[in-house]
Parts: sequence; C-alpha cells; structure tokens
Amino acid sequence: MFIKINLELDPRTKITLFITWFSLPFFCKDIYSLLTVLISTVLVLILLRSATLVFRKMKIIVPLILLAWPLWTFLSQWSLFHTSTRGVDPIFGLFMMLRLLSIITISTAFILLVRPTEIIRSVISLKLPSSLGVIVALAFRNLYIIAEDYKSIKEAHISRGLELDKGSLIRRIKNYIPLLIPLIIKSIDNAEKLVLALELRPNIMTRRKIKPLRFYDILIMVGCILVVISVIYYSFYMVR
Amino acid sequence: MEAVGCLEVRNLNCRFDSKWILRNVSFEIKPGEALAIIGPSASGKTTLAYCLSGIIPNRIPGEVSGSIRVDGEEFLGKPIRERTKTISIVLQNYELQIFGLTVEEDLELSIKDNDESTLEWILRFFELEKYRDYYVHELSGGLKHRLVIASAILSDPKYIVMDDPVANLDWKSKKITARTIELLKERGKGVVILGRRLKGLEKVIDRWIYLAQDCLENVNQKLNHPTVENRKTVLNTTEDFIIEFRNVYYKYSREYVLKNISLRIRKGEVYAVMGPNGSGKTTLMKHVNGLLKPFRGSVIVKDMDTKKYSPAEMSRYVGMVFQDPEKYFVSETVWDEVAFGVRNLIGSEENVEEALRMVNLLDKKKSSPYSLSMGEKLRLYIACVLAMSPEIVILDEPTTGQDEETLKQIKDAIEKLKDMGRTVIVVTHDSDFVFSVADRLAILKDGTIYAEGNPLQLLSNPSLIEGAEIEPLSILSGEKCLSR
Repeated sequence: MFIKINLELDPRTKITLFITWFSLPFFCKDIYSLLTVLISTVLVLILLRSATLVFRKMKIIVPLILLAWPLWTFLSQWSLFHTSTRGVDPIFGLFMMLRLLSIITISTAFILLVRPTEIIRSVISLKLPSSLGVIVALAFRNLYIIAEDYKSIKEAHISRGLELDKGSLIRRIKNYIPLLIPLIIKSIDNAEKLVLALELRPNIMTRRKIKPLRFYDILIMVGCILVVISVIYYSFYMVR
Repeated sequence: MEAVGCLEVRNLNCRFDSKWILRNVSFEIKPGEALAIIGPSASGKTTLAYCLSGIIPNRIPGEVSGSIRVDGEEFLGKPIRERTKTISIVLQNYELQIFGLTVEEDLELSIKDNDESTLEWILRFFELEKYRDYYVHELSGGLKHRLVIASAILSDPKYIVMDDPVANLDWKSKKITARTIELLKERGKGVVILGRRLKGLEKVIDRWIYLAQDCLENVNQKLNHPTVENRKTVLNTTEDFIIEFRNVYYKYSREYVLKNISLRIRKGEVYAVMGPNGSGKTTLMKHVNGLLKPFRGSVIVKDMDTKKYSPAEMSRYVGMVFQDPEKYFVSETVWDEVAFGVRNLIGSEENVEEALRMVNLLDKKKSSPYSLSMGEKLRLYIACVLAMSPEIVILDEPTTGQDEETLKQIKDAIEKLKDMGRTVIVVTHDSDFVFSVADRLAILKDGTIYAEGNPLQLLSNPSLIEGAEIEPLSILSGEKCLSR
C-alpha cells in the first residue's frame, strides 16, 4: 500500500515538506496562485512517478470535488461564518473547488508516500514524551487491524449474497449496515484486549536511533520556510 | 511444605458469580521445565492463564483463592505490572500484543538497552531477518505469533505462559515454536503451555496435565496420539469436473501468490487443500467464489468463468465458511443469522429450518449466536451456507484451534454434505483430519501445486511431507499405518 519515495530524506524533512505543501492552498488568495500550486503538485507527482497512483486513489472522491463548485457558487452568499456581498459567484466557486482539489491531492500523496513508521520516528525525534510516540504507533496499528477486519467481514458477507453496490443510494447505504454491526463489536472487543496487552508488556522502550539532520535536509527545510514566507507575503501584501 | 525455586500453584480456585471455572488446581513447574496443560473448550485454560498473569482479578473481576508462589513469594494479591516481570504471557489473541508497525519496530520496543546485537540475534533465531522491514499486517498468522513470542522472550521473564500457542500455526511454525520452547528451557525458563491439542510440541514437553472441567488430572506420561479411524470411501472417479483452475496466476502487490495453478475438482468429492502458512490456500479458495479474479488464466465453476460473475452471484453455487465465524455474525438470534443469506438471495426464509436441523441447532434457534460454544458457532456458520443450497461448500481452516469433540462435529457435518451430493473443499493444516475425511488432496507450496492425489499416498510419504513442510500423520509417528 505504501510506496517509499526513492530519496534518502530524513523523515523530519519529509514531514516539513508535506506540512509546507499542505498549507500553501490555504495561503493562496487568488485563482492564479492556486493554479500554480496545483500544477506544481502534479509536476512533482509526475517526477516522483506517483501521479497515476495518487489520482487512481482519488477517483472515488471526484464527484464530491465537482459538487464543491455549485455549492460555493450558489450557497456562499448565505454563509453562517462570514457576511458576504458577493451573491452568485462562479469564480469563487471555481476557486474553492480548486482549493479542495489541491488539499485532497496533497493529503492523498502524503498518505501514500510517507510510511507511518516515518511519522512515528519524527514524533519521537521532536523530544516529545515517549508515550506519545507509542500512542501514534498504536493508533496506526489499530487502523490496520480495523481495516483488515472490515475487509474480511465484507468478503464474508458478499459470499453470503450481499450486493453492496446495487440499488439506489439509500439502498446502498442500508447494505453497509450489516457490515458495521460485527465491525463495531470486534473493534470494542479489540480495544479492551489492547489495553490488556499493553498492561502485560512490562517494558515499552522508545529510545530509537535518530540520525542527525544532514546538510541537504536542512537546506530543504530552510527552503520550505522561505516558500511559506514568500507565499504569505505575496498573498497578503501583493494581492488586494 | 514451601517449594523454593519454582512456580507453585496450590489449590487455585476461580469463580465468576456462582459458577466455578477452576477448582483446586495444583501444580508446580521448575525453571528449565516445560509443562503442558491440555483440556477441551471451556475447561478453564484461559482462565488459568489469566489467574497466573493477574488479569483475573485485577482486570476481569472474579473470585480467586488459593496460592500462586514464585520462589516462595506469594503472587496472588499482586498487580499485573509486578507479575509480568516474572511471569510473561502470550495471549490466544496474540495479534493484539504487537505494538510496532514493522517487525523490527516491535522488537525494538522490548529491547531494554536498545542493543543492536540482541536485535540481530532474536531476528536470526526466529528466522525473521527476511521480514524485518515488513509491516506487521503483511505477515501470516504464524509469523505474527512468532514475533509475539520473540518480544516476550526479550523482556526476560522467569516463566512464560503460552495460551494455545500452536492453534493457528502451520507445521513449520509449530517446529519453530518447539525450538523456542527448547531454547527457553536451556536458558532456565519455565514454560507453561495451555492448549486443546499440542501436536508438534510433544518432544519438548516434559510433563502433561489434563485439565477437565472442575478438576486437574496428572497424566504423567505423554498422551497417546489421536488415532485415525478406518473409513470406507467410495471414490468418485467420474470425469464430471465442477471446478477447474486453468493456469491461474494471482498477486496482491509484491510477488505472485499463485503461480500457474491448474487443478480440477470432481462433483461430489471431498477435496482437501494443505500447505504452509502463506502458501496461497485461502487465495486459491477465494477464486472459487469469485472474491478474487485471476490475474492470468481462468477459473471455471459449473461451466461459468468466475471473471464474468460477481461474488454475490456466485454465492448461489459456492458457499464459503470462513475462519472465526463469530467475527461475521450480524443477527440477534440463530434463526435470523441463518435467514440473513437466504433473504439476500431469494428474499424468503425457506431452507432455514432444514439447514438448522441438519447441523442439530434447531432447538437453539432463539439463542444468540454469540452465546454458542466454539463448535456450535462453526456449525451455525455451516447452516448459514447450507440454507443457501450451494452445490460447492468451502471450509476455510475449520479445524484450527478445535478440540476433539468439535473436530468430530465438523467431520460429521462434512460427511452429511457429501451424502447430499455436495462438493466440499476443506483447507486445513491437520493431516489426521484430511486423512479421515478427504477423497483427494492438493498440497500447495509457494503458490504452486507441490503434490496432488490420494491423501494416504501423499501423507504417508515422509520425504514429501518434509519437503512440503506439512504436518505428518499421527499414526505414522506411532509407527503404524492403517489402510483405508
């Protein structure tokens, strides 16, 4: 499921890179800067030879992204969070749709290209309490257990004649209910047993080898900070 | 008299509400000794393990009395944390004892001084070097179990309690577990092994104790192997093939799990599939009901190419009984559980009563599926499949972790299915079981068919068994061979 980036970057550098990348669409205030982020994202993914993988995984949420355009075009005038004088604004709808597309593309790339182990090692290297690293590791580990259970429960029910993707939307949602019951029971049961297992392990050590940052790791991190500063400057002082 | 230098359990009693689970259990184990405590389902094995590790009464409330002493020191009133440094436990649900995401990470969590050489030693000893960077969810059940035992050893306890350690393991992993026990003994650790059947560990166990409900009986000798009954079988030699694999290849992500598989299964026969963990048995079976489609080649079931049909459509012809049936129950009563699949297919509840009668569960139709015993749960799942009247029934590892009584129930159910003219495919590690029920056997290894043919001929060939890394027949270890 996880594809390792073929660059020997420190996990901390990778996280910084993704945080910077992820925050860029939020700083963009016009459609041109957003398009720049989006195109550069696609270019980076092509260079990493991961574009097909990322876009294939995103296929399922394309209708949701497309839905963003009419939603923001027509409904933003009645926003609960801020007063708007713009009325029906298709450009604003397009802007929000592109922002959503950028955020989803970047986060999908993050999930697919950074191994959970790297995230955990980064958390530990930040000198945070050691238990935090274990908690993050357990959260990821549990996600896999739930995902495995879900897969096997789904297979068992399909084998008993359950057609999951048949009928109207309401029908399809109803089809999934039988899967949830055993999954919830199993998850609660697992959580209880996990607490037990934790108590049974006398020592949980978290001192792991953390290599110091290399020159190019620091260079990339500085580059990230410069990019964020320049985008903020451009968005808040240049674009009115 | 107080025994020093041993783990001593005296008159241990445990009860929940008014029901006694353990009564007057007494035994002792010395460092460097392996003690097996065996018994059928619900005889209190897990309760005993929980009492030793302190889970009962610290985590699960229960009334415990008697004494548990280590080197003369009383452990009964101690909290779990204080006990685990001396008595370590490997749970039956061992998967939950893995905390790291990768093999190496999980082992690192247990190494006290982060010593690289200890890590290398443990990886080498458990033959886990190849898997050090693997994510835990990518490992087979046997390898996961191996990893948990490795972690338990790293925390250096005096005694290790293993709850049903070989239930899910293939022959190779069982041999590794046996080697582990041997090594633990050499290092002066006491090992308590609890289980229903401990085939494969006989050579390393020093003493056996039989735990029946409410009593503990010293066997004082190695148990006799279960015998395989003679049985008369009418071999189906017709050329009426109901399932055909034609040069099937399949891969999940890394490498091919099935490589050029070609085999044919006759209508009405009991066909067994054996092979070590990760050899592709379950993957092969998932091709029969269309859950997986071949990457290359084709699977023909009843003259239908499974590539063209959804698993739901295939469920009319192929019923699959998965491992751990309780994981899949969705209904409040036994009746509703059986009716669930039939309603999906034809929208009515016909066949439900008949299916329940066939597995002798009609009198429990109003009970909750979760309240049934292990064997009953499995029979219920078979009823769920039977109610849908499939011509082919696949049982995926039905023998795993079952006691003799449940095995007999499963055998009876298979024979009934055969009498009804159904084709039955059984995936299992249990050679004795295969010998007693199967008409033909295929042995898988590394995703290819290693051998196929008559179960007796294959299973009585020692070099083949060793090469295929499967369990030998008990009767062969007893140096007598029964003819069928």
